[in-house]
Amino acid sequence: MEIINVLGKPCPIPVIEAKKALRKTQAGEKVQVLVDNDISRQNLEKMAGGLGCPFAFEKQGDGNILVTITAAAASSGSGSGSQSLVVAIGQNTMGAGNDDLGGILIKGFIYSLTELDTPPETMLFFNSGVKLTTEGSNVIPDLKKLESKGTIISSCGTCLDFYQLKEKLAVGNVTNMYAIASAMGDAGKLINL
Amino acid sequence: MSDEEELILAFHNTHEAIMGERKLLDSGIPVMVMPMPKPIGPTCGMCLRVSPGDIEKVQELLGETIAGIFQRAGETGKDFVPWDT
Repeated sequence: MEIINVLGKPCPIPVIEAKKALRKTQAGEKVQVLVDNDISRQNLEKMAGGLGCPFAFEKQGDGNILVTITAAAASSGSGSGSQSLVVAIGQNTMGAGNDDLGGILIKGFIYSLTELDTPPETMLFFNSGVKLTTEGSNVIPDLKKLESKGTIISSCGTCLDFYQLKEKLAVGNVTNMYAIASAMGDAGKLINL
Repeated sequence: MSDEEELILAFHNTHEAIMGERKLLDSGIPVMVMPMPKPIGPTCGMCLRVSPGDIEKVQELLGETIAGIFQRAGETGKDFVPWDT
């Protein structure tokens, strides 16, 4: 069995790589991922939980963590037949025009994502989009629901810093531009708002 | 507030939904948004979701702008019926 080595890779790369491998794996077979921090381990566990995949991990002598995920019907690509969906949200409104209207539209859109049969694989929040993932946002429960279904929620660290929201992240993890570009590049389908 | 419990408020138009959300947020009442589900209305409006525990305060604040209050029904939670007080 191949071990996916993501040592030194920022969020959400470990989860993206693991999901990619799981899609190619038959139900019941295992995927192993080597990570160097506990946050990545936790993110992998959340993702596995959302897909209904059994999860185990083992701390190694050098501090790295070897994660083992067993593929389930929902995680294997042949089961769902759908391509991975990435939703990129670069503002806290939807569409151009009136911001009050745009504000309520984006919230309605995020709720609608919770009702999709196959939730997005990844949601990327940047620029004023990070106002949706931080304290004071009233879409946090909907985003947490998506997270519980296996969606990776990632907010741009530069943007959190710019808006002074770094300490106020309320859902998901912090990512950087390399990981954002990589998630977009690897997407089967990309919705860019 | 779990999905099963929440109450869904419908409005006469989108302006009133937007104003309603703002009023509730300004009053510190937890509120979330959802597009109007088909069983509730034919329009492409927006609904607000609130906790049953807040409904009296919500009704006081939003009064006549509320066109209807609904709750989830059925096993999938995708059916909606008028709120049964």
